[in-house]
Formats: sequence, C-alpha cells, structure tokens
Amino acid sequence: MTKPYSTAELMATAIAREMRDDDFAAIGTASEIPLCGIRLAQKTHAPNMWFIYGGCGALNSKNPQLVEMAADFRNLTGAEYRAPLADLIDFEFTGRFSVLCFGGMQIDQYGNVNITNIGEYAHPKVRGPGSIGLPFMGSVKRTVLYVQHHHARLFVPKVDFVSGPGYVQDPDLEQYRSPWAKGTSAVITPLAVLDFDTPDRRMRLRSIHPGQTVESVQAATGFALVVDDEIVPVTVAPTPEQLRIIREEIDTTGVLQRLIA
Amino acid sequence: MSGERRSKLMSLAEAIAGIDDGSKLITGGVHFSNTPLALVRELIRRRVRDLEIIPTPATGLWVDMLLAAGAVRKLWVSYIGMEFMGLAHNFRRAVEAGTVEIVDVDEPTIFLGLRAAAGGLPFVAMPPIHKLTDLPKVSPEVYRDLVDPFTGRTVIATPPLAPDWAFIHVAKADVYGNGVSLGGRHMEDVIAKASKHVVLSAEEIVENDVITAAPTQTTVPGVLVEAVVHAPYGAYPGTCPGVYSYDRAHLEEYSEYAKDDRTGAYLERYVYGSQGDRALLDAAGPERLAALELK
Repeated sequence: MTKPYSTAELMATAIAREMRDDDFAAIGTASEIPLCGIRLAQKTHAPNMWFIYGGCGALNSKNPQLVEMAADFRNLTGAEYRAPLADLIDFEFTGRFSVLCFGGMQIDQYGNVNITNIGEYAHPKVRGPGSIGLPFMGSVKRTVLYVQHHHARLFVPKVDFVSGPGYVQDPDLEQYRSPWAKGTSAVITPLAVLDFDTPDRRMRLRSIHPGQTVESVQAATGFALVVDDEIVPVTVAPTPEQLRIIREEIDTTGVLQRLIA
Repeated sequence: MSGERRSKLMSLAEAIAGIDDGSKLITGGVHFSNTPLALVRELIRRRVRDLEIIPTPATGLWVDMLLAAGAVRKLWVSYIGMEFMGLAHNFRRAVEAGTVEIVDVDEPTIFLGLRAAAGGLPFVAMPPIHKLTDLPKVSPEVYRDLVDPFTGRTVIATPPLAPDWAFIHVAKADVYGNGVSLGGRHMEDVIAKASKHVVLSAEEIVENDVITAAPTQTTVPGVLVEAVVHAPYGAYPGTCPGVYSYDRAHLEEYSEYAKDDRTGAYLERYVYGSQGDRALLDAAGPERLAALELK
C-alpha cells in the first residue's frame, strides 16, 4: 500500500509539531525539511513564530518553492527583512533564537553532533565540512536535529568530534552552557522521532514512523535506545489539510516528494 | 587647484598583481552566492603559492579550486563544502592526506575575528560555549580561557583575523569602488574593514549618479576599496543575486572532476591559458548564460 505522503513530508510535519507560536527559529544549509516544517507551523498552529533562513538572511521567507540553496536570493521572496550575518550571531549567542535546526554526520546517544571528521582528527577517514554554527547548541534555547538517513554509522555511541554539544556528562563543563540553553528537544529521522526525555539524558525512542517497528529502528541505531515500557506510539501522519498546504503553498515543485528515496 | 577624482577601475590582472606568495586571502559571498570567482580564477592563472585562506563562515568552491591548484598552505575552516552538491572533494582529500595546515573554528570565531580586525579591537571575548566542544582541543591557539575582569567568570578569547587581501563581488559598482549587492549585505562591510587591500569585482560598472540616487543601497563603500574590476559573470558558475542564477550543470561537472581527482584537467580546460574567463564563458555559450538570467 503506497502512503499518500513522502518520508520527507512526514518529517516536515513532525518538525512543525516541535515549533511553538512564540518561537524565533533559524535554519541553514540543506534545510528543505525544517523550512517546510517551520512554514507549515506558521500556516497552522504558530502564526506568530518568526524564522531566519541563514545564507540569504531572509526573515519570514515566503518563497513558494523549496530551493536547494540556502543562500538563494529567491528566498527573499515575501521576506520582511534581510538579516546580515552579524544578526544571526548575536541572536545565536544571546538565546534570542529559541530554536535552531541542525543535521550532522554523526549523532551520539547523548545528542552530541559531529560534522567535522570521522576517525582520528589528525588522520581522518572522512573529513566533513566543519563546525559552522553547531557550537551554538550550547547557547540557543533549544535545538531540533534532523537527518535524511538513519543508520548505525550515523547514530553512534560516541561522536568522533564534538562540533555541537549534547549533554556532556561533566558538571565542570556544563557550567559553560548558557543558562537558558535546554538542549535538543527532538531528533527527526526517516525512521522515527527521538528525544532525550530520560533521567540520564540518553536518547529515547519517542515514536516510530508508520511501517517501522521498535526493532527495525533499534537495528539501525548504533547504541541501545531508551524505550519506555508502554507501546511506543506511531508518528502522527500528515493530515490531508497539512499535505495540501505543503504541496500547494510551500513546496509547489514537489522537492520533498523526491528528497528521500 | 582642482583635480579629477581618481578611477579605481582596472583589469583582473592589474587588480591582483600585488598579491604575493604567502598572502592571507578572504573572499565575500556565501556558498555559491556572490563568490568572486573571476578574481579567484585569475589568481590561479597567476600560480600564486602558499596562501593562507580565511574563508567566510560558509563557502567551498573557491577554496576547493585553490587547493587543487596547489596554492594553499594554511586554511581556516568553519564550513568548507559544496552545500547541496555535498562534500568539497579537494578539501576532503587535502585534509585526509595532511597536505594543508588546518585551523578548525566556527562561524562566530571567523566573524568576530574579522570584526576585531575591522575595529582595531585587541581580541574578542565570547561566552564559553566552545568549551563544550572539541574546538579548543584542536585549535588551542584560537581559543584561550580568560577571566572576565567584570564578573570573574571564565570566558573565551579569540584573536583578530586580518586578511591581507579581500575579494568581493557585487552586481553593480562605480569606478570609485562603491558597490551594490542586490542580495543585500551579508558581511562584506566587516570583511572590507578587516582587510588591508580590497578588490571589488562587479557585473556592471555604473555611473556615480546611480550610486548617489540610492546611497542606502550601497553595500560596500568605495572608501574601503583599492581596485574595481568589471567582471561579467564574475560569480559564475555560482549565482549573482538579482542578476543570474547558478549553473547547476557546470557545478556538477566541476564536482565530477573534483571527485575523480582530475581538477587539474578542469583548470587546464577552463582556467589556465584563458584570457580572463573567456574559455569558461565560451564553453557555457550565450544561450546557457541567458537561461540563467534572474528577472
């Protein structure tokens, strides 16, 4: 049976549910899914939220197409302001951004994110692009992580390099986190929604996407997920109205219908 | 005695003639947007060596090309990649092989380092969030603990970043160096103030009265600019906001060469031996270029 929505559209609606009416969000590179989620939230339950699209600096972009390049000037379509990079950095340090959306090459069981290198730092097996804005996970109010793949090489027990800090398990270090920074509220993947709502801040399976099982998600994860005793819920699928808004108003060229195979 | 206001307009080659081996270089632009690639290609033709590259926080293609050309000794890294095209292959290979000196930093470290140089600040103090990451471990020369003299708390100090040369690309400029980016200002003002020499390339050279008719639209003031170059398609195969979009097919072609470690052949075909960007733009052809126009 074919689902009426794509995995990326399901992820976008899951991200939309993470957004609140009083949020001020920022997104950057490779952000088609969170961009769609944020705009869907604005068009449904969060009409007062704001967001900046890094690169082009658009505040409240209303581009009717999801484009592949964050810095694309067309993202200024319908925007209310062009934020220079200085604004983003100020908002990131001060926690004025209530939520940032990030991805990574590795995410570990405590939510640390690596986008720098796989293997030894001095002799990497894979050199990634670099830390860019990920250290701000320590100074924005909360983070939503999203990845377009879910496998055991990405979800690892311990990241090879901490580009963005999760829970660091060391009180001497935790003092350096900005007091308002509450960490990652959700990790959205093609298989599941995960969070850190556990006493020891280890990653928990919050919901499995339709068609997945607890076992299939666990098998694709390189560490033991915390699974609550009760039955793990199934991620809520996009409603017909959400799908209509996505396809007719946000992603009119169908990028999210093709993004994840 | 009255004189004539001096034009800063010159050729690509004249504008970069003063760049020595070992210079510190930065360019404006984000990812594939407004990257001054005509100037970078001219620098590759000059076969400059041992550059120290201070890239803007999110960029890739121009650094990847200079690495392939063997022009780079040291590289600061916040994000070096090809955005939606994936990893920057020459960058990845160079770091994995250890053939380039890397300083791993992030977006605020580069921006505030430039900001310090721009304003003559001795250093910048930041909230200590980097201590939660591995950056201070691998780049201790950039992240120093400091006791905040006002609160007694530990903060992080990071030094000024002062490039010798900056390349900035805009849609329009006059011959005095006043530049207008139609995508708005990102951080070009900070780059220009932080750098000793600023070269501005522009799609179009306009009369001064075009600038004075809308001075609030000027994104780079000419007082900071040393040389102005007329460089049509100067950001190609990337985009110049408001003028043309990026050429995805050409970016894919570059990535194919780079992935196969054949970027030298790419440079032979499109860069070396070309008079300015003629080889590249002739290969694209007028129809393909016209199709990229942004209305």
